[in-house]
Amino acid sequence: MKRYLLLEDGNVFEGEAFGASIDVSGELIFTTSPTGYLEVLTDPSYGGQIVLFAFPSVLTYNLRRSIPQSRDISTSGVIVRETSGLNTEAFRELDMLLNNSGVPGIKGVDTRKIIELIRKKGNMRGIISCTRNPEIDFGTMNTRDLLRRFATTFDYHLNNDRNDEILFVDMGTKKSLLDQVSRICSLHVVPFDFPFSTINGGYSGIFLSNGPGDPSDESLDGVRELIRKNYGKLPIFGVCLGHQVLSMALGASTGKMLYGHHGTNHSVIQGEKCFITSHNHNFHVLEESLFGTPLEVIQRDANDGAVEMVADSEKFAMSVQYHPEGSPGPVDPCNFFGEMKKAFGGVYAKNAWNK
Amino acid sequence: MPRMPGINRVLIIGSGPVIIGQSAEFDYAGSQAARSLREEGIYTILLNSNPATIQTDNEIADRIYIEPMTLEVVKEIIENERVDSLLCSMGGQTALNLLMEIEKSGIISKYNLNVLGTEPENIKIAEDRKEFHEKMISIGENIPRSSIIHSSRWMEEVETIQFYPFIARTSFSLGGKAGRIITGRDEAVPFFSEVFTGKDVSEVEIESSLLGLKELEYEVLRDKAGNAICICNMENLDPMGIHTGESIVVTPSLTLSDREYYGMREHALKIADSLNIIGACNVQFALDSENETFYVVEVNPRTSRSSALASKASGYPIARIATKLCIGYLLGELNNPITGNSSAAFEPSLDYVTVKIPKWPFEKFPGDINLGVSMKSTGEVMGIGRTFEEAMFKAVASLEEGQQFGMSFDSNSGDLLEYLKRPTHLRLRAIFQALKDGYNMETIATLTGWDREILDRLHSIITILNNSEFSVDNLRKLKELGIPDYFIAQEHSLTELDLYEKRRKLDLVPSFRVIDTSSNEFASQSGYFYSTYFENYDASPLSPGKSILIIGSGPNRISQGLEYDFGSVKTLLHLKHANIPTIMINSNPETVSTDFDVSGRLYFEPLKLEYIANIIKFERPVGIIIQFSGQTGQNMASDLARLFGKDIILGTSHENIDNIEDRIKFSSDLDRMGLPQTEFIYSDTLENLPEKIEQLGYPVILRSSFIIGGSSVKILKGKSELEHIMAHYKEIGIKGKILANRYLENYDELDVDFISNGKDMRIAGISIHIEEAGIHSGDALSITGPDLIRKDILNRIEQILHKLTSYYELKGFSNLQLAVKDDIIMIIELNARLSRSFSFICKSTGINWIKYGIDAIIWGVLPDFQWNPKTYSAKIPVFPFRIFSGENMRIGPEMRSTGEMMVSGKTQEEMWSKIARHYGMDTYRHAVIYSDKNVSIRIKQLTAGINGIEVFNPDEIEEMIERIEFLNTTTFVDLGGEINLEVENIKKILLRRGCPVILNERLFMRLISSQQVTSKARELTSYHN
Repeated sequence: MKRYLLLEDGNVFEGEAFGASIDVSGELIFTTSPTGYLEVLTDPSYGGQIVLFAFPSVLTYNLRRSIPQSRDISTSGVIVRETSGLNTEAFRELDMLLNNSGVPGIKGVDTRKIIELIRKKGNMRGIISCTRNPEIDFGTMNTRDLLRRFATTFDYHLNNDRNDEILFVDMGTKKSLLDQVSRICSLHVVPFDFPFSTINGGYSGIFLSNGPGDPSDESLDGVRELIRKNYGKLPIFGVCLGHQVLSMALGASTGKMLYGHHGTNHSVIQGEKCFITSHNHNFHVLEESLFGTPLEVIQRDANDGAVEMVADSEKFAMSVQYHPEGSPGPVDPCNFFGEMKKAFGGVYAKNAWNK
Repeated sequence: MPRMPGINRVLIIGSGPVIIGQSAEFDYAGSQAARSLREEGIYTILLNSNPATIQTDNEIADRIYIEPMTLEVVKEIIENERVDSLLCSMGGQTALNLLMEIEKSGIISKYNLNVLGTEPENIKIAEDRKEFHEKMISIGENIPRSSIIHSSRWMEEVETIQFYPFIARTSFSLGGKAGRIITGRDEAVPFFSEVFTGKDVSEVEIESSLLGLKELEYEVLRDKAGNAICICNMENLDPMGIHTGESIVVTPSLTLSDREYYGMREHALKIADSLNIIGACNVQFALDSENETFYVVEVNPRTSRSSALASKASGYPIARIATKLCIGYLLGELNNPITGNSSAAFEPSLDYVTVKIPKWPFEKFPGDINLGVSMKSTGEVMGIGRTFEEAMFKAVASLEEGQQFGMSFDSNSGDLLEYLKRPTHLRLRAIFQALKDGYNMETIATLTGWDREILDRLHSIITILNNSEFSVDNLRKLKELGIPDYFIAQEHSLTELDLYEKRRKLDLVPSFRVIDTSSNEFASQSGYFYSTYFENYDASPLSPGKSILIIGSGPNRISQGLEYDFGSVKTLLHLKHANIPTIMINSNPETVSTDFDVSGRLYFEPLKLEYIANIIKFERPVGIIIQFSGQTGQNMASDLARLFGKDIILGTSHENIDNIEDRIKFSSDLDRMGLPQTEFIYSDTLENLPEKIEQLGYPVILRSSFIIGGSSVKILKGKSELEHIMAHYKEIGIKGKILANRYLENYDELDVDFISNGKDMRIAGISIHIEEAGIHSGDALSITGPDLIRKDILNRIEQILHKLTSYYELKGFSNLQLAVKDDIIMIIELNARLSRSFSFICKSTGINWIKYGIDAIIWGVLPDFQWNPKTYSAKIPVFPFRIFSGENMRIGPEMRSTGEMMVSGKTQEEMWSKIARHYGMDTYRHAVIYSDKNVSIRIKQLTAGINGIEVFNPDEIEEMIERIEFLNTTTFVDLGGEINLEVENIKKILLRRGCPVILNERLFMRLISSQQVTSKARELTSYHN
């Protein structure tokens, strides 16, 4: 069966259908990760996006060997280059899963050409449809809806040491990130729209998760308020969306990149050191906007110089744009979780309180 | 951090002659290293004994030493050249072993040398299996169980082994040479008994075999600040138990989960860190997918065969960047030369798949086709496609196995199930056949150890292939999967050419895509292309009507290797200087010609009509050069001329190529020209053969081709030998004509290389075989130099060359083989293409004959000089008999050597002294000679009064063995007529001990009669002045 990808710029690509037979729209993103297709497809940060895999033969192992990052497929559509005649066990499994999740896919299209279009024109919205003339439109991104869909809807505790907990703000966290942080400390996991004013201390730190959508959206104002109220009192750490919200709360601003970073091979540079890191971001913190904030740039992307890690000199706040938890991708020793452990453990607190 | 100070004059050590396990990939690595250093203004001095290499050329390095690769020579060079640093990580195991010797000798501290890259201390740890295991345990890595068996106590120790099957190997193994899998006690006892017979092996390391687990490799780059990246990983489709050089390998891995892929990557970086690797290294793992456990198998602390593959597969120039890291740069300071605008500190992302398949010389060494932990392949091919399917079919096509396609298994070869289980070069065929025959997938997976997902993919292909209807729709599907034309054509009784034209009409044509290391995430200027179907183009043609396209020589095999790539690369460099846009096509990932910036544009594609025609159609070059592609290009010439007009072929025309290739036409042409040749007969059937040979008279040289893509050349002395060989031919089947030439006894054979412009010619060089005519020119020890040929003979040779040149309008490179005795000259063979001896001639004369040959092809001009040597050089062949233990160690008309080395001398005596040293026949010689009784009497007389020479005949084998055991190391000379299995065995044991073996009487006599003088290592150009 044929299926079509329509782009905002008028380009139409024809391929073979798999997954659910429905029409969807979403922002079109490409990732260069050679592995971890299920990790990508379940990552809430890709929520509402149509994800294209640059690596062409990606569906070559069984789903059970993956680490799902949420309970369901989070992307609205999937595009792969695989040949149209592909019929393997791994492929059939994914096909069934997408069917059950109501997510359509296309195989056998010229993915490299689509990447070139995105590289030259910037991110576009697209429609996956069973016809060349779909009835739906390209739609727009609604951050609040995405956050509601992927963040927890209720608060809960992890690890049960209520006396030494940190506040984990879930804005649509990846499971691997939650796991990684919970390995280091006890968590009180709360949604992004939690009534933060009811909180009366009692935490040894705040952690801001990754998530989908635009960091400047007003639905995240509550989180920013929380950060401002606690900055200087508690160590605050963040990843991806968390990094952007933290920077904004402390006075910086964010912008949308031409086509973002999505892949597992990006190098970030810190002085003499470089680390290969897993990236998935369309927005970034604008370096010039950090002037006058307590935050400094610690790491930059080796290629485009994008801000990848910021921290203040007192080590109250530190955040990374990339995913130090990997899944998919590497976990090079970039020192983020190590610093977090020290900070939440009160190592840096003494200096701060003396001040 | 910029470059370290004190690195101004670097000695780069190459890998020496091509042998199994060490081939063109180190020429590529060394060439990249030299270029990388010269970019920094560093003076480069290069040592390599192999004259066929591209690196031993002054366009690549500043000073060239083609000398024996010994400690003494290194010492001389260090003094002559005031070397301050050594780079030994680009020359394979040969260079690392030499580094170990250099280190031991104390030269490093004496001359205060920098050893660039990983410290010798750490190399030792990586190379010594015991130390390596200890290191790995100390950093918490999983390693297989192991133990050491000592020669003194092996009989007790063998009883205590508790982990069968195990791999037995000695340290510092080259291409896993001494490795073997032992499955039980009944195999262990005879094995150790054999190994410990020689006195030089004191212990053998045994290691629990990880047989059947998935084998993975990670290619790591690390700088001195400890930053490390993984360029790519490689998945061996064949499970553990088969040397990675013998496996079909996919890059990047296809069947690994994210956790496995990045888990092993993390450990690879950690291991590189623990050995303080600076530059490149390769880490091998065995993965148990069932429970996600992996074991460290080994680390290569240098660039390896896999690095070359990884470089070509990913587009990342590993050796070039590794060299920069060795002189102090950090990863973050360097640019990715492929994109030009992104950092070298990143891991390439691929939007295509590559498949490597080894090329085995089993047509020459059919004795034992089993694959295992030792390497037997001489080369490899790589296919690139947008999908696994396409890449795999391109790799299969690149093997150039005639019209025989790698998808069907001939039931005459044996039982299919057996061939699924037993790893041989026929396994892929067996898998396809089993899928076609509907075997249970589980059975195939269990027998082969291949991953289910890969088999699933192959099965999808079979499903589509089974629909054999010849429709446009179906053809589309087949081309989407990458099925080659010649296979589809065969299925539908068409020729490849027919199908090509049909596809053109239907507009089912491929487009060309770029390899850019970033999956198109960044714009790139890359000129590295491959074809795929039903996609868009990444670029427009390079320069239609102006560009020149060069066809490479494909996988390295015996008789077609590195020396052809030398021609391609020198041509590319020459045309670059002349501002002519160049396009290169090749399928061999080890080569320098497939380096991304040697040509204007590189197409990594099979050297088959379909793929080459697709490229010509797209690029529309002004002409193509096929003279550097060995037989591959010659066979395609007339089809290409038919498609694109006869002018497309630059150089000798396709009609004349065919006339020369067809031995019968050639012979009648020679008659017409009045040129002397040996008498010959031919026969279309086996039945007529005996009678015709009888008319000709024995001995004869017999040539024939097999149905299974091989060919055979044999010398027959009498009727019984003919009967024997006819029985063999009936069994395997032969095709086409059988040709028999009168064998010329005790003639000298001459190899004449010349260039011509269709009318006139110039001799580039003449090499004279030391052995009598009849030994293949690739296997003979040949020498060149002044006054080796009588003036009147030389004049007559020139007359012959002039006749041939004008008769065939020869243009470009040609090679003529002659047999000469007293006043008789006979023509043996003419080849209208570059010959194997050409690089040797270029190096020995110091003249860039490639440039002049190209000028003759393109502009019709010839230089105003010809061969006028001032110095003496010898080409010494190197044989793979250590590997093919099932083969008799003899030389004859069929080429069996894998490579060569060159030595030179200002005088003939100096050259012979160097040759004698190579054969252990210099001043401190000891030689044991075995020969037939009558010969032995003669030899005894001839060698009377020479110390250290002992002659034995077939009745004295026992005494001979005793004597050899007493001497332990000696030169062995086999002049025996009949094959004696005991003697064959002795030769192999001696080879493994590193003892020279001489197989020819004329060579031996020349060696003992040569006068020994002191010899010097000289820079190449100083031989030419």
